[in-house]
Amino acid sequence: MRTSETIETLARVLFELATLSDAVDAVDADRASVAKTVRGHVDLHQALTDTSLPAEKKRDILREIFGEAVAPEILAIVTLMVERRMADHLGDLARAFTETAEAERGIVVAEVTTAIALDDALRAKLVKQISAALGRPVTLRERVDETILGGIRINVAGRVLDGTITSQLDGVRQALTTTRQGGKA
Amino acid sequence: MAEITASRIGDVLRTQLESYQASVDVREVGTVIQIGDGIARVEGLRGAMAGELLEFVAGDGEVVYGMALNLDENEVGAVLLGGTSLIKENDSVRTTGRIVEVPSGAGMLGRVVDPLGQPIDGKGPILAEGYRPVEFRAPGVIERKGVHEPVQTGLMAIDAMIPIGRGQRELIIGDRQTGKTAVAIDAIINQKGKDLICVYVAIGQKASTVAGVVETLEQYGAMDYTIVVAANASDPAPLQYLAPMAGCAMGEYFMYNGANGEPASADNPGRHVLCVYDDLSKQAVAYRQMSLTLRRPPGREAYPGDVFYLHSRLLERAVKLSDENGAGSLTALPVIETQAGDVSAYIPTNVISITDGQIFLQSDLFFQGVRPAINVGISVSRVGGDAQIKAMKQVAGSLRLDLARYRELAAFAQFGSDLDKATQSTLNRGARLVELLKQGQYAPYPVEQQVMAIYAGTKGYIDDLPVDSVQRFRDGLLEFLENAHPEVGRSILSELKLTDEITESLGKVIEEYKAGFDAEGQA
Repeated sequence: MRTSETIETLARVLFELATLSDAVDAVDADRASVAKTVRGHVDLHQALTDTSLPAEKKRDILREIFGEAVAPEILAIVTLMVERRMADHLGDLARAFTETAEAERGIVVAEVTTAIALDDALRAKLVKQISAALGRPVTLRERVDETILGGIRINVAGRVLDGTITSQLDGVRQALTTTRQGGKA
Repeated sequence: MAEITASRIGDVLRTQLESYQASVDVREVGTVIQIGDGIARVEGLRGAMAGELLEFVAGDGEVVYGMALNLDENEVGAVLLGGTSLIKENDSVRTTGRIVEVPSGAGMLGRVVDPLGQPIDGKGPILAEGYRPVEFRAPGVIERKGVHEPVQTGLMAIDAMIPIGRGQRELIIGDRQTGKTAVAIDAIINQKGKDLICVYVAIGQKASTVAGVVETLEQYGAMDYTIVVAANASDPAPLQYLAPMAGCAMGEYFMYNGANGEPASADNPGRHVLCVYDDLSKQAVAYRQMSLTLRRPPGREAYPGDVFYLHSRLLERAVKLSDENGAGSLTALPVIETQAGDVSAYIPTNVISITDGQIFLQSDLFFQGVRPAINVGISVSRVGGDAQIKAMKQVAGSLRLDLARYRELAAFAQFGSDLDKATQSTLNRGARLVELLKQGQYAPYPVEQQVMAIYAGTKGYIDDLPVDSVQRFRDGLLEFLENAHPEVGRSILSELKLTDEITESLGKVIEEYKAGFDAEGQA
């Protein structure tokens, strides 16, 4: 079986486990954090991919680090993958899981970042507009981040619609520091 | 000088911001999975284009640029163009929707820039007229026309026997220390006042060497019409890989645009450009490094399979455009360094097969004192003949034959006086012609002087001179012609061929000078 097929199977198993325990949303929220943590920490990555380290040791490490922080279904699948020397494919699992979840539930999750919390009217409007744009039902995952100052950033289907004040200020800064004259090249 | 007031500052800022349009930009955002050796694997950029410019946002908000090269099913392999130590795993990466591009325009002339077009000569920012993509489709058959105007290098051996035309690709190949760069620099210096813009691309050279070249060009007033693109040995491999394409893009601006900055057309002629890529073997090595770290499979000599395509793509951009397209041209002089004269190595054979001829430089000739150390026997120019002026063709035909006959018999030279008369005269003529073609560095000859000197050689005027006084005779003769009989040179330039009157007067002047010269020799 090819690695990609294995990962798809694992993602499906994870989705089914999550559905059984009614934790799809929790799993979806945590899906990338394990991959991100492993990737961002050199020692952890090395420990998990070290072939001389016994599997029990790796299992203990994973339980100590992620036991409390992520859904137990994810931990189970991740542990299985690490034991089978697939620690490098954790990112693929997260991606495959999102795809499976979207296909099974028929909805897309849009991550919306704003400086202040959304109100109900705005929320409804956003859901309507994004659904219309994508042609599929959408659920929002809301985030409040004061550092964007204002505006909104929507992260959906691998694309980012950036309408934040900070990014517009960056654009102005860029326009002022670089001369980019017209002229046909 | 205008007064500095709050309203003026406001005006300046306002005009600067006019071009900025606030909009909600939709971009793809991915994450760095792995980074190392200047290579990043990025997930989540499904719509990235091959060669697209990527923005890596470092933890402290600093932006580092990269270029997408490997487009895989779930990830993109990208090379970082600098700032390799700033980016870490999990940093975000944005697409820009633009292929890697460089600033272009007349403001680049006289400047030394890096492969991204940023000045590295400390002379302040460059006002670009526009941006051009580093990878650009070469014009097709219909947009071109045959090469027919000459690029005079000022080197007699080249202009007479291996002529280069505008729009040609002529390879300069040889071992290290054989004068490859010197030939290219001489060619650039000789373009002064000839309406040819030069781009010198230095790839993987020592910064001190590049500084030396720039100083030489400045000294001979050649920087006014030259752009130097430098990717030094200490620069990351992706920059060394980009440098020739970037230089070509900067040159293409002049070819595709008229002097007024508008696109070239039948009424708005494009300009002529000479691009020197010094050298492509180092670019191939940089590309090999990039490809191997991107985990592309290695091929012959561990170069990737598409290294031929890399060079053919670059050199195909050398072109002579048709009249409807402004009749501009871009001449390419790629340089390849061989190891111990081995031209059958991978990169040399590739580039030899792509180019329209090659100038072979050999170290044994160099050490024999034949400088420029061009082996005229195996050097060829496949299209340049049409670009020679008629006068040069008339004198160079017999030069080539005389030298070929000389090389054939050179092995018998040691038998000296035992040889028959015909062989002896061939050997005599050959030795003197070789001497005649020797030339100092940074001392290019204008084409009419070359014609006159070669005429003296091939018509036997120097056969009875001692070999070691040939160069002195040539220089003296040219000086005499310029001072006492400037009309001969002028008429060659105006007629462009050797008419009977010109040959007659030229013969007379040479006889006249020779009479005086012989006397000097006896004294």
